[in-house]
Amino acid sequence: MSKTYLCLDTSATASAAITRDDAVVAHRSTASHRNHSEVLAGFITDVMTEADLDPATPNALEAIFVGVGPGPFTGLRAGIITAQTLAHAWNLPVYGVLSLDGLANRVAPEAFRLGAEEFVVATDARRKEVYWAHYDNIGGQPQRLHGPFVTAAQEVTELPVFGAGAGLYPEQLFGITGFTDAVPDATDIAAYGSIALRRGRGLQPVEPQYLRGHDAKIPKQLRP
Amino acid sequence: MKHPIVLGIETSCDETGIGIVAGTNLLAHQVASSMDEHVAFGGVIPEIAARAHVTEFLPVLDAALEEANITIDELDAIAVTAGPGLAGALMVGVAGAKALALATGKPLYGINHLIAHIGVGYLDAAGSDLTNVNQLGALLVSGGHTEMLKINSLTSDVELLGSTIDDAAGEAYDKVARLIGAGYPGGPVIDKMARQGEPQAFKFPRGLSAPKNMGTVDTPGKDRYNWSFSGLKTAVSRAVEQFRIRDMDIPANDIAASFQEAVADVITHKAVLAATEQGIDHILLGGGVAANSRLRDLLTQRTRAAGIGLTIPPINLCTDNGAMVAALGAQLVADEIRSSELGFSADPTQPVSRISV
Repeated sequence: MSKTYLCLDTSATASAAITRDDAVVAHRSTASHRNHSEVLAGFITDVMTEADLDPATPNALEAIFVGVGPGPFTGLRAGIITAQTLAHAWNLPVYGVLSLDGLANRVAPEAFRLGAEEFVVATDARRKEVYWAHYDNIGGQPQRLHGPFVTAAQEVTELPVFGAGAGLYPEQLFGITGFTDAVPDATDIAAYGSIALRRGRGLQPVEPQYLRGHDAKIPKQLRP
Repeated sequence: MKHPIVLGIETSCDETGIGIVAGTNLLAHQVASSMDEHVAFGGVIPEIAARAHVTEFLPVLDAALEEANITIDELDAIAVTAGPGLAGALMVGVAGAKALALATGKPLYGINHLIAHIGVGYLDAAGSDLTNVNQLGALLVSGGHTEMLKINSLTSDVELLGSTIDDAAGEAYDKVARLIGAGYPGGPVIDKMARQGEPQAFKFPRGLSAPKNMGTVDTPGKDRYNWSFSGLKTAVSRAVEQFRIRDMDIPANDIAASFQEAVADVITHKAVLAATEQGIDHILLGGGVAANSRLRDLLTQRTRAAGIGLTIPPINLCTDNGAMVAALGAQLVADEIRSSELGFSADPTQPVSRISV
């Protein structure tokens, strides 16, 4: 049976895709890390139009997948609130995918080819830190062992590293050539999400994975 | 369209507000506030506010639709606060509103938060008919704003006459409340303490009121209609400090009353002066500080003495809410102003001249 999904990720850059039977039929993304709430609605309109879906009555759409991070907060929220609201208005299910899991799923075949039994996926967390998770590689499919975490690069487990985090900290991280600028994309979320949905495990609640607190300090006068 | 049904979304600060109007008739007015989470910090923490908006958005939306007893399909348009406000908080509402517009095909209006505070005055629920006013002015006083505006046309021409050059009045309340250990939010607690205190006990400064700031009617100084509250806050801080170093009890009620008197005095004096000199014959008061008893009393007295009309909407329409956004949206639809493109940005420093984006 034909399954059509709308997929979004705003954990690093912003992207949207429509997949049908695991094939990407329409895709938009931006290289910018800072304009998610501006571009996302336009991307969704574009990919739906290209896939012959009417945004007012997208009857063929089965569900929405959204990357829940970790990622910089403001951009991450734009994707999640968009996915939640669309699902609500269309009366469709919405599923969360850890954005790092999505990227891990893309790079796992390469890791397998390189003989890496375990590997790390790391993305930019700003403030001199990376978001990362540690994966087991089962025949070219990722199984998350630890994480997600947000730490300085030198605290990352010493394994081959895929993702833009490796490109930012080449001294501390052993980056894999060709993957040192990779960031999670809507197509990764689609691929991992549809497998996870079939298997009934690996999906996340649709809420932002901030990993960090809000940083606010209680003012001196208010401390006991 | 005479009485468009518009849903309004407000997330510029710590209230997640969604309201629905049909023209000037208020159908729904739902607000969830993250205020309790900010108490420990004595002020709004932007990241806490933004996180709360994500959690509250859909529940508040459903509550509003249920209260109005309509479905999304029945809406004629959607409006959302595009700015000014806290960037991270604004972006939650803007992204949610765009998704709603996309999913329903309804036109979307990204609107100005300050003008929405004026728009709410046009609702029947605000209690007065502003359509017969000759020249309307608006005084907005809140935790984020202190502005005096001249409304030539609500949907196309609003002029900024004066504003604070540093802290907003409500912010000054929060800071002073912190200094005298009164709690948060500062407005209600200081208002309450002030009733037990002597407003003339301390002579706190009225910022930007010196002759060089004011100038004259003919050659006005550039801060004639502007306010400043940072000097006042410093004066309070020094008074508190002087009691503290002498190990004396801080006369918190007297300080609260004197501070409140200084704030209400300088705000109302300059607002009424601006109105008189700029041909404004009716003032609409908006913003959370409209709840302050002294500000209301003094403004009522002084507008009456100057022969200027005054509208103070019910306080739950003065504080941030979605109904005001919907109210302005309905006026924009009625005036056939074009709707916004879905690519617009939230604008944390949106000027009052930009009524819709």
